[in-house]
Amino acid sequence: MKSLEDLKRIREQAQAQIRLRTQEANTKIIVGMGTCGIAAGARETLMAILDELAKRNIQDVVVTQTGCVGLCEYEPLVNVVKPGQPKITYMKVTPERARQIVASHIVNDQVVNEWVLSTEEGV
Amino acid sequence: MMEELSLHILDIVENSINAKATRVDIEVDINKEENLITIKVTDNGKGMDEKTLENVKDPFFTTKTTRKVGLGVSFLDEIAQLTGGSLDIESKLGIGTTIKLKLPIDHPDRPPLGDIVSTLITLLATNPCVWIVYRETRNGKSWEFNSKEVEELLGDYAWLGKIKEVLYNSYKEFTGGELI
Repeated sequence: MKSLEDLKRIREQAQAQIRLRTQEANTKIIVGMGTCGIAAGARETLMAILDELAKRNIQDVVVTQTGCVGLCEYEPLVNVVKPGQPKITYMKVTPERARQIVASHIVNDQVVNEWVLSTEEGV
Repeated sequence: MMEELSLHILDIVENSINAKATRVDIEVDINKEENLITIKVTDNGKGMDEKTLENVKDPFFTTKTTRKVGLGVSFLDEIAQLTGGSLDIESKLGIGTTIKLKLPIDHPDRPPLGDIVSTLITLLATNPCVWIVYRETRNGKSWEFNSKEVEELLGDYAWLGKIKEVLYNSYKEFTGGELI
C-alpha cells in the first residue's frame, strides 16, 4: 500500500469482509479525550490501544471517547465496560499501561488492580 | 498548553464533535514567504449564541458541567497572544463554527505542528460516523485526506492500522520529512 488510491482499492476488496463493530461489539473501551486528557497523553494511549487490538485481531470491542469528567489529575483515564461486569476506570494510563490493560483485562478478563481508580457496579 | 498544534487540533475537533458536528474540515496552510501557519477548523455543529461566543476565550467559562474551566480555546488564544498571531472565531447557531488560528512560523513559542496522522487516526477510530476532511498546503503542494474514502474500513482495527500506515507514508512523502 503506497497511496490513498490503494486504500480505495482495498476498500472495494474488503467490503464483503468488514463487519461494523457496533453490530457485534460487547466490550467498550472509553478514553477520556477532553482537553486535560489530550494534554496528559490520551492520543498516544488511544493509539496504543488500537495497535494492541489490531495486533491481537480483536474485533468485538468498541473504542470510543468521552470528555472531561472532572478528574483531570488522573488523566489519561480509560474505562473498560464488559457485559455483566462493573465498569472499571483506570487512571494515568500510559501507552505501556494501555497495552497491559488490553492483554490482561480485555483478553484474559483479569482487572489490573494496581491502576484502578474506581469500580462502578450496574453499568 | 499542549506540546503540539496537532493536539490542539484534536481538542478543537473534539469540541466540534461534542457540538454534534457531522462534518469537520481542517485546513492547514504553511506559507513560508509570509512566515505564517494558518489552521482553520470548520464544523457544521450546533454553533454558539452571541453570549457564548463572547466568552469562549475565557478560561473560566465553559458550557460543561463537570468542571469550572474551559481551556481548549483559551490555550489557542494564549499561543496567539504569545507569538503575535491571531485567533478568530465565527459561529452561528444551527449553522456551525469556524476557528481560525494564525501564527508566525519562526516564533520560538510556536508549538510544532506535530503528529497530524495520529490526530486523524484518533478521530477516525473514536468517531467513525463523523466526516473528517484534512487539507494541508505547504511549499506550493497540497495533501488531502477525506474520511469518506475509508469509512467502510473503520469498523476493523487491523484495517485501521493499515490506514495509519498508508497515511504516515503518504504524509511523509508530502512533507519530505520537513518538520514545521
